[in-house]
Amino acid sequence: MNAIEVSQVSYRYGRVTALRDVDLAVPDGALYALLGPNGSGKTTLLQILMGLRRAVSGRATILGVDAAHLGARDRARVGYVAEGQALPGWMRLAQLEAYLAPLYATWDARLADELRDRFALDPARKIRTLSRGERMKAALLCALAPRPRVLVMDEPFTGMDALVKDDLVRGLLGSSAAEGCTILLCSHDIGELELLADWVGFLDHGTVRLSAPMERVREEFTRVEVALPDDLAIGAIPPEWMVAESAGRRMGFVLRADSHAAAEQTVRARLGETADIRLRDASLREVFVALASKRGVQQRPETGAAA
Amino acid sequence: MKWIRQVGHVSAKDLRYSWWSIGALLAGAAIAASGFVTRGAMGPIVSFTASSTTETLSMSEFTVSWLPLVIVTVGILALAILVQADRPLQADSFWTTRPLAPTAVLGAKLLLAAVAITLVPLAAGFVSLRSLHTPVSVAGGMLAHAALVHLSLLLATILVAALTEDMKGFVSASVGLLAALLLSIGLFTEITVGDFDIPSSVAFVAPAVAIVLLTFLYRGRRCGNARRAAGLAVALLLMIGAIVAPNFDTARVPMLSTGPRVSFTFGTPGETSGILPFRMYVDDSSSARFAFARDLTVISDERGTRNLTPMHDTIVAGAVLPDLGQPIHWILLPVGTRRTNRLAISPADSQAITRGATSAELRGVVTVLHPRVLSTMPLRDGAFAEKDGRFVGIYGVSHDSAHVSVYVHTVSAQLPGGHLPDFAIVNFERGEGMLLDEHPSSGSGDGWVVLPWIRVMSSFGQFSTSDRVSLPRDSGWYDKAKLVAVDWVPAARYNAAATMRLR
Repeated sequence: MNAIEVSQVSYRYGRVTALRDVDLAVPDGALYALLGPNGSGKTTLLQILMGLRRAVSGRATILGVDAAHLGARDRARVGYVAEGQALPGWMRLAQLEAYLAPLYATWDARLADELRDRFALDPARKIRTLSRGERMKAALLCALAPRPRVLVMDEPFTGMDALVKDDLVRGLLGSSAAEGCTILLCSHDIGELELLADWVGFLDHGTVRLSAPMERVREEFTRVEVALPDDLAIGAIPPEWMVAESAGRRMGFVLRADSHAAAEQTVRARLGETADIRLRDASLREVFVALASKRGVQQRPETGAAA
Repeated sequence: MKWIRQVGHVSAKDLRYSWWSIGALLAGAAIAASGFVTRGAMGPIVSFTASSTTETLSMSEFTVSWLPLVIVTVGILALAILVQADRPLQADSFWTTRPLAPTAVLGAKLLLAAVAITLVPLAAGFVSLRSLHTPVSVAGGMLAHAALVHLSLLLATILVAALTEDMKGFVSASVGLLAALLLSIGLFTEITVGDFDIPSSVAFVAPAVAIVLLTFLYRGRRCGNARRAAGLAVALLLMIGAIVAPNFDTARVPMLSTGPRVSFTFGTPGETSGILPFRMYVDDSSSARFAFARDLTVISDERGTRNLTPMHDTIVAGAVLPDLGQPIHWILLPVGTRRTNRLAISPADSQAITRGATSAELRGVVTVLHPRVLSTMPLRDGAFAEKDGRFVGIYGVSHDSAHVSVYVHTVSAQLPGGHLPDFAIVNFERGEGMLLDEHPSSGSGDGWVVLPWIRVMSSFGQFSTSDRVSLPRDSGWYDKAKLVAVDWVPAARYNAAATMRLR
């Protein structure tokens, strides 16, 4: 079962199309990393999911409920953290918690205490006096303390120092996912997400280029390092060799293939048996860069999209 | 959490947020009310202008002018800040992703607007009006009018605050709306030439439309140009509604199909300048007075008839002497009873009259006024009485063989159209009395009771006798005399028209 489903969703800001026929599914319990360059439509998609914007066409559901008609009871099961989300700056953190707690039947005061300690937040401080990173921590605390069924996070690590970010990513999100909470997360911290995410989606210019389990992405995207023999001239780089870079007789690129063996076969068909070819799983960052680059997006149709 | 508890929960949060402004509003309302209860606000406050030594008497400017404006401004700003704290039309607004019903958030704002920002000043207004012994029914009518106006403006505030990004945007939009309101009224007057009045039902329709639109905006959580335009249009409608809100005058004066005949006599034949001097007569011998409110003046000349520019004024004729319940020998009548009325004519119309108008027909509504003794108090400095929403106090008395002057301070909480009472000095033991004329140096002013939608009028008048009749010479006469304030109470109305020959 999918906790989040997006079907043929389009959205426009005036004449600018922000999303075009987006299909996306986030399985129940998954930690789904939604990647994409700036302006790709990630935030818009998340706002549509939270019922903050209404899609021009298509349908988005969250826990089976149409996102455009989320009621108070539905929202109690969905946490939302966004970079630009306004918090009541006049409140002290303790007041904010006290304000929110009665709204959620599942509010876990002990978890709130733990998170406050972990984030080193002073409950007596007013929200407006917190730094940007501290405000995001406070927002995270408020989103996590109700133990939501679904957590939607838009750049939640903004302004956080590396230590806290690492702690948050590895500890909290991991444990939330382990408890069955579905997490849909947009972030530029690809390195952090790679360790946790079990699904990854790539949005570019309002279109989903890829949506697949992390395992499958690792299988499909291979990082190829080649040492060319002196007598071998490569000529024009094939378009399917994404983000190719070369230094002297060495070159590297990302190749999309069914397996490492298939990737090697493809490369050897071009370079012959004399080339020294080394293969490894492409990192999420390398996949992101490959797909985000023009060459990357010109590749063959993606497998596993809109699972 | 149930809806009603959500409303309470958000309201409690809003109260915590705006405690300073609500506190200021409470304090302002309390100070304003105490000004009336202790009579400190009613004056006379003596001030001297910088350029001369002329003494000016007035009510407390602070209590009847500034404080009501401050109370309204603080209330509007507090509400705008609260609405913008939970703005409905911001994609990343804090509340929109929380388990809160949009209508509960809106309900909390409306509750605060109704209770803290409207009910509190109204309660203070009620206390103030009752301190002037205003009958509950009259005070209730005045407060109902004030509540309608105030709530209309607060609803407009909620709309504008919801549609703007921040306080700067709110202030800019509000100024723009005020300009649009003035422009609309100007255009409306220009187009209709005063022939059509905006129905007072707008005052009821506009709030209903506003609440429906606000519900739609809060539920939709989105804003577009169409919604913004609709919101501002409804805000404008609310402001118009506030202007035409009915007065809820509980003492409705019945409209009769006919009444005593009214006639006019042109005062000075041949004189046709900017004003028309004339006398009004009413075919009636009772103790009633007749106030003719002129709606239309039609002049005739050799070319036909022509409607003059409306110059609304009221002409009074009829009985002079009030019935005091016992026979009184009136030593003298005031000069005012023999005064010739003067009809105001616009400059453009006065030229038409000069060019040969032969007659003028005056049309309007006559209100029949019956005398009622408002108060009877000893004729001495400091004496006062309060009744039916009026305070009448003496702040000076002087008399000699040829002249009597009584300085009277009146404060009257009343609906528009109120008038000053007549005053008479009466020695009931001797069965003698004299009616007093208002001296031209008398001054009057108006102000507000707690809110600018509850009017209060004050006058500091010198009432005196003419010099032509011998007055009682013994001080004993004055020691035992009373100052009687006579109110003229509307009893009926009827349409009337009469023509007077000008040449």
